[in-house]
Amino acid sequence: MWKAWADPPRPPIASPVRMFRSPPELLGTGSMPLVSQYHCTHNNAVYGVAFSPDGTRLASASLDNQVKVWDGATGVLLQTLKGHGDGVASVGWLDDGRLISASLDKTLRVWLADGTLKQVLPGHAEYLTCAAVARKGPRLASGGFDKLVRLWSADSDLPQGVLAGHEGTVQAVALSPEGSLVASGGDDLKIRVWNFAERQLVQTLAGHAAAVEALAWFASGTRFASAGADGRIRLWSAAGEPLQELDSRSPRIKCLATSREGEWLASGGSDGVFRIWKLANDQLTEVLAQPAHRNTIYGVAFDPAAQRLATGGFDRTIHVWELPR
Amino acid sequence: MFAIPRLNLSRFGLSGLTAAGPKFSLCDGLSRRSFLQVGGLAMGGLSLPGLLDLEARAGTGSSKKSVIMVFLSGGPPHQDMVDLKPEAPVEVRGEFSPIDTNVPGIQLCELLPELAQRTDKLAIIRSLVGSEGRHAAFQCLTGNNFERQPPGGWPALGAVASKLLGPAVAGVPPFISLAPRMKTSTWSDPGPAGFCGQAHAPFAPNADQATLELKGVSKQGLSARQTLLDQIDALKRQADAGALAGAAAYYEQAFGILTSSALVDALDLDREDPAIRARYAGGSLEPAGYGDAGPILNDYFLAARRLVEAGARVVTVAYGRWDWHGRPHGTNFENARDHLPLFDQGLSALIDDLYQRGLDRDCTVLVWGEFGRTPRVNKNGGRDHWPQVACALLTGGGLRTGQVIGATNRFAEVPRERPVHLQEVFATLYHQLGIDVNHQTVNDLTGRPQYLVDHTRHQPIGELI
Repeated sequence: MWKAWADPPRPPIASPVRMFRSPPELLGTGSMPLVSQYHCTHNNAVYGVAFSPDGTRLASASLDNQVKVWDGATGVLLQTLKGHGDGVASVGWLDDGRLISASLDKTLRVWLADGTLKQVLPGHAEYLTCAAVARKGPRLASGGFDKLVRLWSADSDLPQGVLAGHEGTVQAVALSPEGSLVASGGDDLKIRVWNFAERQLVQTLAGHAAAVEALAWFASGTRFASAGADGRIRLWSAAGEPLQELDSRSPRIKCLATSREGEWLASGGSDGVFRIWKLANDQLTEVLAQPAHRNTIYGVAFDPAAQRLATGGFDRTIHVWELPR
Repeated sequence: MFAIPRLNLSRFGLSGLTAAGPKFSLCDGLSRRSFLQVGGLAMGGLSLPGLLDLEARAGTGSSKKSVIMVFLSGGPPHQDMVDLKPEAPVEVRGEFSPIDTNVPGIQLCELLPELAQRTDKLAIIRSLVGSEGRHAAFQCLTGNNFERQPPGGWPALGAVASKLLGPAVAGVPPFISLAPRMKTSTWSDPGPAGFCGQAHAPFAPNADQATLELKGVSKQGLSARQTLLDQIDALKRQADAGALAGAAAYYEQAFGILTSSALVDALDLDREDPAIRARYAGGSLEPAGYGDAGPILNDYFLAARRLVEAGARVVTVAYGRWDWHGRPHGTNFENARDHLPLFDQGLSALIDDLYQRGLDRDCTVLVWGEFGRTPRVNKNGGRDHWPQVACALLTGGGLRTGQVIGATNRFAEVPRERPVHLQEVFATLYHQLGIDVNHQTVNDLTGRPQYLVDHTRHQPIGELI
């Protein structure tokens, strides 16, 4: 009778593409070709990935409306969190182990470590497209098609603030490590930096020639990076000083992530390639470029020790890569 | 006086399908219509009289001509598949480049390399017009507008084939839809019977679910047909000769069709040569794209081939989710990178299969959607609806392939040469089935003869036949 395409056993693979044929030139041509430790799949595009603070679990968000939690070491599926009514745009972990998901269904959800749904945070009037979780504390931020940035606390059902000013869809938000500053960017090509506690705009930054689609703060909290549809990465000080602009060589950057320790930046783009950048002396230098996905990479995440990188893409796959020392 | 015995069909692994029996009167006056619950095979209203009518016609229309229609739910981007405009501005031409094919002068999208090697077996229409702009399968299935339908409604191509030609092989319904249930119900439309009558509605084995299981119909259950018929015999014996004997005969014959091994075998892809099945392999049972359409699954192509080989006249397939408006559900181009490689593999495998089996003369394959997409990429990286022009692919059927019909202007906005109306495509399909659109009519529910297409304006495509 009819059968679904059957998943084969899941060995470590050199080719990241399982369901679909891969352009042969995609793999093995980077300067440091890597082998993915394991890979996982969703039933639709993967929009976000995040390692738990202790690195033992990996969460993924997908357009299939689900969040999945995987064993961080092996890729074995541990939990499937259902409930969102539309694609899940973002996923992140609080330092206490709670999991935050944000969905096109206009809500954020707070999940306990055992997979129990703890809170639903509604508020956006249109698609919620992006969210950020502070590395310390309960602060959250989200943005969407309603051009607003909304502030939240995972400890409260009440909204913590609404930040208006963007003149287009908000495509990216990022919280500084302790959540004191919020950076947001979007279709108006602008980056806005806000003070979380005072709900005040601190800076409006221009420079990108196309939509800003990715933002990430470095662990020090003094620098952040932006990138987007112009394929360029920009480095900024927390005060808004432009420090560097560089061509990523990807036509469009969809995601950025920084390491918890050290000053590493990962980017993922529409070419299916992830790149690792080293920050030193206020300059980013590319140290690795790895073809990884057959379609746009929507999520990148370092594990806490920055020894592995998870990537998730529109090709429905997640790969975990061991990074060179 | 008697009571209708209840057949415990669950014993046979048959539960879930309702076949409406003929009206008849019982002396207790309680029942006017009987129903059989038979398996998970949604028959779309295929009633016993209809089944019997089909049976009666078996052999009368013995032509083996058939059509496989692949409906790309949502409207595929013509300019990103078969009509690329590399000289246009980036906001029009998009992200893909054209590649040469095995027919000099014809180019396809770089994501269709397998089809590019089989372009000599394709006819590409780049100037399809006539879309009414509805987000629905209706027009692609019937060839007619949804608005202002005649009494009873326009029938699908397959319903017309069923009515006029009957089954080619006893036990194999002439019209089969593989469309699964979808959130967007207008895309999962298996095809209306319209004024042909419900007897000619499609057999729709996937209509109950998207998992492509023949739910509830086990091989064991089917092998118990004889036991089932024994029960029907028992029913006969209990029946009043004047009232139910005929009905029981209907049932017996109906079960003969419903549990036809030819049909079930065709749907059993495990029976396929693994090497051939591997050529098609790809896709997922999960709803594609935004989740509101059916799966993108190449097993559909293989099943369609098996069904026409078994004797189906028209098989329709709903494939993927092509309504790519852009973020936040992925850009047009991300979705294309998701769908087109699978489509390339699946359709190429079907072409190879048809030609290698010698079905290429009898089976015509049409691939299209309800409209094209906007020439200019929108702010969310998507392309919106564009009824002004669309594309279609044809193969097989003895058509003159290896050619492009029509052309669009520099931004693929409107036809520049040889606009092809979708009713011309339907006239061609009817021609392929042996139905003359210039003379053949079917009465609507008022008894008024209706031509199948507006034959005063639209004829079979001369370039193809």
